[in-house]
Parts: sequence; C-alpha cells; structure tokens
Amino acid sequence: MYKVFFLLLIFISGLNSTLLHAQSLLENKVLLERGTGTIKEFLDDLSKQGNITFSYSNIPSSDTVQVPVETHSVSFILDHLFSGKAVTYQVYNGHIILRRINVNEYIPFSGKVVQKTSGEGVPGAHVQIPDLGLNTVTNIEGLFFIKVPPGRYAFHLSHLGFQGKIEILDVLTDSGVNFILMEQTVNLQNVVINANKHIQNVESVEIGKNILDIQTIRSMPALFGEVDILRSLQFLPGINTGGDWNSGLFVRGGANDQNLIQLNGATLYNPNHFGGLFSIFNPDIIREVEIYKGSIPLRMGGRLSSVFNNQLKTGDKQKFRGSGGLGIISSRLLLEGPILKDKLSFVVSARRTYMDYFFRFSKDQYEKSIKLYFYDLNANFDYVLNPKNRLTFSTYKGNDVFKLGDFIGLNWGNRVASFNWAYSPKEDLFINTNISYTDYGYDFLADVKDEVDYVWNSKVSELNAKVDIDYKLNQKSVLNIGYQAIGHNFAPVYLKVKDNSASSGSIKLDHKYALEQAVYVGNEYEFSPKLSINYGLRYSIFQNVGPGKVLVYGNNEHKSLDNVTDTLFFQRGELINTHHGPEPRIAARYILDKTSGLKAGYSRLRQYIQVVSKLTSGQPSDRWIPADKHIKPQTADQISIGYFKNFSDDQIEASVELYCRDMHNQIDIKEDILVMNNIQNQDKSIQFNNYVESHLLSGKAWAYGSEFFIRKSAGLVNGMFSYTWARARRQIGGINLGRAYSPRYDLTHSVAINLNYEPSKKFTFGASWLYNTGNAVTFPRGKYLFEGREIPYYVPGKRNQDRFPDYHRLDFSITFTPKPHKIKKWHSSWNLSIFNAYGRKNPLSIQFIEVINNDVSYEPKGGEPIETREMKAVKMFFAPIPSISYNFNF
Amino acid sequence: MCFLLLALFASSCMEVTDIPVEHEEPKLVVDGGVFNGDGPFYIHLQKSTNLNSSSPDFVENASVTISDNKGQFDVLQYEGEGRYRTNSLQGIPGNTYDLTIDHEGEQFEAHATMPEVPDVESITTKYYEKSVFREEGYYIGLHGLDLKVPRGYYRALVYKNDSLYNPLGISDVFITLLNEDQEYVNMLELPFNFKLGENIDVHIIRIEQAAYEYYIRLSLSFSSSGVIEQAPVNPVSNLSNGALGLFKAQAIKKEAVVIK
Repeated sequence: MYKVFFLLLIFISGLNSTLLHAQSLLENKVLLERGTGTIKEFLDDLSKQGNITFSYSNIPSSDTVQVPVETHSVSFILDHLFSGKAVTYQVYNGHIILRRINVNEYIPFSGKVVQKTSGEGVPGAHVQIPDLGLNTVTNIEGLFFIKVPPGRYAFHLSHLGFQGKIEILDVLTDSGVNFILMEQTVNLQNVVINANKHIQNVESVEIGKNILDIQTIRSMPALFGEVDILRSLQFLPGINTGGDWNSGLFVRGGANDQNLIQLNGATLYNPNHFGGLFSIFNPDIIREVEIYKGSIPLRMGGRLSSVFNNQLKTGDKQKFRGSGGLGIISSRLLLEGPILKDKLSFVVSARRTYMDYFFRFSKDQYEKSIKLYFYDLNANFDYVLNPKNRLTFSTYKGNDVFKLGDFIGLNWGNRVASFNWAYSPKEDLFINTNISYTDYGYDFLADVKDEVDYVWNSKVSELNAKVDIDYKLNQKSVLNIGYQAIGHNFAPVYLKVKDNSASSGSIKLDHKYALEQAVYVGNEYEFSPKLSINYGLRYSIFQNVGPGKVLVYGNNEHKSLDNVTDTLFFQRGELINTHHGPEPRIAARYILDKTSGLKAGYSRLRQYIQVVSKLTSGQPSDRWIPADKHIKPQTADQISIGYFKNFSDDQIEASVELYCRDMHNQIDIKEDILVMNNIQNQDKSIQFNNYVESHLLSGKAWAYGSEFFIRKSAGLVNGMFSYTWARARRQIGGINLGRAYSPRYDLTHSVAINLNYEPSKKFTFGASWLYNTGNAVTFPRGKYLFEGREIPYYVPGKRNQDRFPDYHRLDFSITFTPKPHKIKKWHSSWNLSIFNAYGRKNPLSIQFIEVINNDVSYEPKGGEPIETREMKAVKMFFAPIPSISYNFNF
Repeated sequence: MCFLLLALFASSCMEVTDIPVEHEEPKLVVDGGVFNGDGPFYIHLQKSTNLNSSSPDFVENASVTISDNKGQFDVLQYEGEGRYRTNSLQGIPGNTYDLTIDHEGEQFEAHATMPEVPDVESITTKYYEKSVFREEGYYIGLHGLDLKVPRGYYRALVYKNDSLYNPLGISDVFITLLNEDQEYVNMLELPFNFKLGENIDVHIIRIEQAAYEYYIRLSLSFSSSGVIEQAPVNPVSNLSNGALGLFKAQAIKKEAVVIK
C-alpha cells in the first residue's frame, strides 16, 4: 500500500515539474537594458540574457517598440513587444514559438468551466475577456463558445459559490481547455465569496435581478436555527415577508400569489410549512436562488410580480459525500455521489421536524396525543450523456402533518417531479426541454364518535412542458425562442361525510380545467461593448376547457346568485372561454465606465390563475382559481431604471433602482362575504362555492418605489445592506367605498442589514437587523354596546389607514467550528443563534377584544361567571427565541 | 394550528397594549326590536364612544316610532338609560315592521319582517363521555327544524335558572341550511353539558337572513383569528343613514327541558 502511495507521489511530483518548466520559461526574470529598440533587438537580448531560443517567421521584427527598463518576466516583455501586433507565442519543448496571425480572422474558441471537487460542468458561469469587452455565460454543461481574434487573453471566470479566477490563455492553442473553479465551501459556514462575480452587477443586462447563494443564506441567523430560503429574501430590497408568522412574499407591491416560485423549473403552489413559519426548501440541497423582480426573462411568465427560481445542487460525480444537521426542532441529512463516475450522479436529502415531542410533556390526555411535524424529501439525478446532452431528473415531496389522536388529521403538502434535457447540437445552438408535474393538496379528516365523521380534501395541479432555444446568430446577437404549455387542474373542496355519521351534507365542488400556452421570440443584441439590449415578445393564451358549468348573470356589473338568468353546460374537452394577450418586454444596459452602468427595463406580464383569500399570506387552505368567463386575467406593466456601481475592485457592489408598476384586474372579496369557509352558509363562503365570481370585485393596483442595495462579499467583515422606500395601493369599486387603500403589506420604509464577521476559521459571527414601517391595518375608531357586548366600530372608507408599531428586530448567531483545518473526512460545526435578541414585541396581531376577567387568554365557555369585561387592544408577539444546532459534512 | 404553536413557544406572548387610535364622530347605535307576542318591546339607543370610554353614551331625547304593514303604529316611551318602550304594539309573524328615529334633526329608518315561529319536532337529551370535543354530561338535541321553504335562519339561546348561558359572542348557536340542496337539518345539538335533573330553557329564535349575517359577522370580531386577516369591516346593518346596530323582528319558540 505504501509503495503504491509512494509511486503515486513521485508520479504527481514529476508531472508537476514538467509543467513547472514550461511555466517557468515564461516566468523567468530578465533585466532589460534597452529601453527602445526593434523587436528583433529585444528578442536577441532575451535570447542572451534569458537563455531562451525563439523560433519565428513573418513577424514585424523591425518595428520599434518601447519597454520600461526594469526586471520583467519573459511573458511580460513578450506581451509588450507584440501588443497590438497580432503575434502569438507559445512555449514548445524549451523553445518559444512566435507566430503571426491574421487579424481579420476570428477563430472559434471553446472551453469548459468545471467544479474542482466533482469535475462536473458549472452552468451559468460568467466568462469575460475584458481586453475584448467580451462577456459570455456557460451553458448547462458548463461549456462556452466564442469567436475571437487570435491572441493571448486574460479570461476572467466567476460564478456564485465559487472562487473567481483569472487565466491567461492563447486562443490558438488552448481551445477546449477546462477551467477549474473551486467551491467556496471550505467549511459549512464559510462565506468568503470572491468579488469577481459581482462584475455582473454592472454588466448583466437584466435589471431587478438578484442571486442569493446558499452560503449567504446560511450565514444569516435563523428562527429556531432553521435556515429559511424564503425568509432570507427579505434582506434584498423590494421584498418583504409580511411579518414573523408569514412566509408570504410581497415583491414591489405585488400580492403573495403573484410570485412564481420554482424548484428546478417546476412551479410550487404553496411553499410553506406550519402556516408560514417555515418554507419548504431544505437548505442542504438548494444551490442558489435566482430572483427576478424587474425585467422578467421572456422564457418565464404566468405571474405578475416576480420569479424565484430555486436551483438544486447536483451530486458529486467523483465520490460519495454527505452532510446534515441536528437542531432543536429538526434534523437533516443529505447524501450524494456518483452512480456512473463522471457521468451520472445523485443527491438525496431529507428533513423532518419533531416539534410534537414537546406535547408529550402535556398533562392533558388529548394534547399528549398530538402529532405535529413536517418533512421534506428531495432527490436530484444528473446525467451527462456526452458533451451535447445532459439529463436531469429531480423530485420533491413534503408534507405537514397534524394529528390529534385518531380524531383529527390534517395533512398538506406539495409533490413535484421535473425532468430536464439540455441539448446542444452545435456550439451556437442550445435547446432546453423541461417537463414537470406539480401538485399541492390538503386532506382534513375528522372522526369523532357521535360528532363528526368526514374527509375533506382539495388539490391543485399542473403539468408543465416547455422548450427554450437559444441560437447564437453571431458574436453580437442571440436569438431566443420558446414555447410553453401548462395543463391546469383545480379540484376545490370535496367534503365527504361518512355514512351513519351524525352530521349530513357532503359537498363536492366542480373541478376546473384549463390549458395555458405561451410562445416567445426575443433577441439579445449587443450594439456596442457599452450598449446591450434584450427585447422580445411573449404571447400567452389561456383556455378554460370542459367539463364545466358557467352561470349567466342578468347584469354583469352585479354578479350575484340571485341574479342568475341561465346556466351553460360544457362537455368534456369543450372550449369554454379563451383569454390571450401579448407580453412585450425589453431591457437595456449601458456601461458608463469600468465600474458603473445604467440599466432600464419595461415588462408586461399576464397572470391567469390566482388565490382567492381573505387572508394576506399563503395558507394551507388557499383556493386557487383560474381566469374564466367572469374573472379576467391580471395584467401588470412595470418600468424600472437603475444605476449600478462597484467599488474597491468590485468587492463592493451597489445599486439604486426605481420602479413603478401598474396592475389591472386585481380582485378582492366583497366586504359582506362572511368568512372563508363558513360551512353553515356555503353560498356566502369562498371555500365552498362553485361560483366564486359572485363574491369578487375587481379593480386596479399600483406601486412605485426606490431600492438601495450595497453588498460586500469578501473580507473579514462582509454583508448586505438594503433600504427600500415604496408605496403600494389598490382601488376596487365596491370596496372601501371605492376609495384607494393600502394593502396590508404596503410598507413605506424597510431597512435590512446582514453582517458577518469571521475573525478566525473557528468562529463566525452573524448579526442581522430588520426595520420596517408597521403593516397597514384597520383599527376600530370607536365602540358601542350591542346585546350587552362591546363591539368595535370601523369607519367605512378608511380601510388600512392605521399602522402597526414599527417593526424591528435583531438576530445573532455564532458558528463554532472546533477543528476547521482537520484533514479527516468529518467536519462539523455548532451554531448558536438568537432570534429577536433585544426582545422587541413586534405584533403578530393586534385585536380589539373584550378582555374578560382581566385575563387576556381567557376563553369564554358557556355558563362560567364573568366579572369584568373591557375592550382592549391585545397583541401577540414572539419573545426572544434561542436555538442551537449541530451541522456536519463528510 | 397557529395557536397550537403559539401555545407551544410563546405562551406568555400575549398582552394588552396601548394603541393610539384616532376617534371619529359618534354614530347612532340601535339595539332592539319586535318579537312574537304582546310586548312591550324595547329599543335601546346610544352613541358610539371612544375606545377608552368607560360608560356608554345613552340617547335620551330621540323620537322613536314603530309601525307595521297591517296598520299598527306606536310611539315609544323613554324609560331612561337609552331605553324606549312600546305601548300597545303586537308582534305578529309575517308582519313587516318599520322603525323610525328622529334624533337631533336626523332621521334613521329600518325595516324588518318577522319570520314564522320555528317548529321543532322533538327535543332529546343524550349522555356523552368525555371526548376531545366535549366535557362529559348531558347534551340537548333539537330535531327536525323546518328549514327548507322559505330558508330558515336560527339562533338558539340557552338559559339555566334564568341566567343566559350563551350571550352574544360566547358559544353562539346560529344555524341555517348548508346549501341549496339540503332539505333540512335533522339534528342540532347544543354545545353545553348539563347534569341530570337540571331545568333548562331553550329559546329557538327564527331570524331574518340579514340578521343572521349581521350576527355571524359580529361574532368574527370576538374570535381571535385575525393574525393575517384582511381589513375588518362593520356588520351590515339594516338601519339607514349610517346608524349602527340592528333592528330585529324575530320569532321565538320557548322550550322547557328537564335533563333526564
């Protein structure tokens, strides 16, 4: 064994020395005494002093050049001599060969950016040649293709989560080379991000785009120590989550259901656990989140506000590895490795919470029987067939489970499967095909002897297929075309009362079906190195398909069930209704100088499905409804402009963006609708009604704001700062006396700061502070007595004119890595965090209720004595919550 | 769900807080109406007050009349504490009653039609062991409420020794058909446990749809589900001119039940 190892060592060191020699020839230091002279004279000097042999012909050897008199490396001198002369050089067998090249000729050059650990291609990496002002991105296999004049160039490589790199290569001789990038994950909490990637802050054409990589997300202190992807997004400007118990996302004045949330390209309908306390993304398996809130790419559509694309990690193709963690409420494990070495890899991850263990300490026999947990299972298989074909299959299943003995069972969750085929038949053609299925559903089961015995479920699902083609017409122009088709199936409430039960009345609402399609054509065009424009048109069409029933109302302005004149019936597959329209989009970038640029964009978006809810955040029982004969699709127009500037060698990126957005056909529920799921009066409920349109009103909404963002990614201290000033308004006839009002998530000022300090490899400190104007809410402006009770009085036409107290909160975390430099396989670290460190009592809710017997938590029951009752404002809030977790990888 | 978690992690995290609230012009509030029978009937008038006010603002000098579509007319007498009493008005199911109030130069009106007196086929009592939803004890069941045509809306009030078990907002019992297809509610069980031998009075009250919706909306303001609820609004009153409250015309059937 030792012998083999020893031989290996020799082999490796021998290999290195050969390379070293080739390299050292160019790195030899030579003192030039001549300041000015012909190229031939310089070459002769070099031959003598550096003991180097040159072979050349047909080079402009009599041209006079200047080189500073000093000690230089050979390569530096050669670069100087032949700067702008179209001469290339290369070391061959101890010689340096000089060659003349045809300037007018562009030669193809290709390369592959690969991960150091797994050897697999890195898609989406930025490749730049600043000397040529050239900028490209690797395809899904990590390959890139360019055409450049022959010569030696510095290639700048960058990608999120990797250390940036500069390599100098000769395009004549080095085509097909592998650029190896190192991951930044030295230990779990390491947050050193090379600044190179932030060149794209200035240079990418898209405006309103952010990327958060998983290291950054992990570095933020988290509630119960659970790293939460959606919650971390509130550190970006223009995004708020609507409160502590709310994983809703409100982007630039848009509603929660106006965000397209994707997992490897598949749509998610309800990405929340525990009613919004956590999101379903297990941080172990997420590589990064792309956020589009300004110019949304043509290949994406279907939602008005934003796109959040969560990219899954791909498994290591070289060796088997794992990682995981133990926390106070959950545990996680991830395994990855090759199935076929270098070709096919897998990664699987699991997370499960165990909050229900706390109930075991309860004295109440029913509380003792409570089960309350959620789990997430992910898998991702990645198969690189050959350099032209890459197949990916990923799947997710997650559920929330609540059980009270055998009496009550509540279950909700998402299932997702996504298949992707990336195909690149030639260098300049890239075809991506994605097919995904997703569903979200819930089951509610109640089985109590002599009381209730029923099952209630609901589901929404889609089958989504899309093809995106990028064709590089020439060096300056890329054609994007694509097609997408989505089959929607909405299965609202089916409540089945079991036979022989005490209650009666099964309810089954009609399923609804729809087909959504879109085509697009676009062009990314570089007018000059400074000015680049992406423009194009997406055209979408939405068709409701039978079977179905449509009510005809006597007066379309007044849709109500007592105004129905006819019912139309449609057969299976029959076309019921069609909506369609164009979605033009354009984005432009103009580079002012090396470190700053201007961007602007306009986009129009159409959204055909939406949530109808009286609540403002994502809830398990959310009802998704399609646009149809009575409900028009929502549309939005957004204009944004921005100034982008990098400082300190691109270590600090900063931006200012302004936007304004106009939204049409925004729905809200009529004010007299009683409750969401009033089973006692289904005609007046949202949840149990086949004809929801009779409860809805529509109008417009608008939003505008400015966003400031600074990010420092490298250094001992790094972090992010964002400030947002924004306004969001809605105006819907029949609601709030027809006057404009703020939605609850209209927050005027928001500040988010996240700082990390890494004094040593052993300790990392994280702190984050959030501030925002309190939510827009409606408080009573008086009270009165009715049947002996105090009732709050709300003034009509003053919806949401009050505010919660300002929200602010400080969180801390410390990560301790006991042995950061350990060579052994097992690496581990401890994370201690505290949520709401200074105990700010930010309200989850404020309610004006009669406090009975001076006890805020008094729950009145029939027949109990009531001594005092008084209307008070009662608030619920989170106290400081400390947590600890242990994380490992191997 | 949420509240389970709150109980788990933040049980102490509820407190009375001070919120500065703007105040508005007080509004007239009406509470009262006509019930089946001979009367007298009462209308309570007050003005809405500031949130921190500790006593109600009774309206003393209003002129209040009730008439019906069958020629009855009554000018109500002021009795003090905002209470106005009818003299001779009869509560007759099927009649539509009109309330008019003159106060400080403003006029307020409301109309309400008294539904038919509810019909209950039978009342039973049944013993249950302790379970997840209920305490052990005897429960009262109402059978065969006549709900279908015209659709009925009901409220049940339960008295033990003349003391009301379920004042508004506490264990309210309101019921109607589940949906258009349902024929009738075959059994309604009242959510109160009693002991053997107790004497209980059950008032089954048939109310108008508008009143039913008013109550349901009102009961929302007592529940604590408002964590993320959209803006609350006042219940839709049947009074004109921005007055709050409800003018009732309701038919009550009183049943005496002995638990056995």
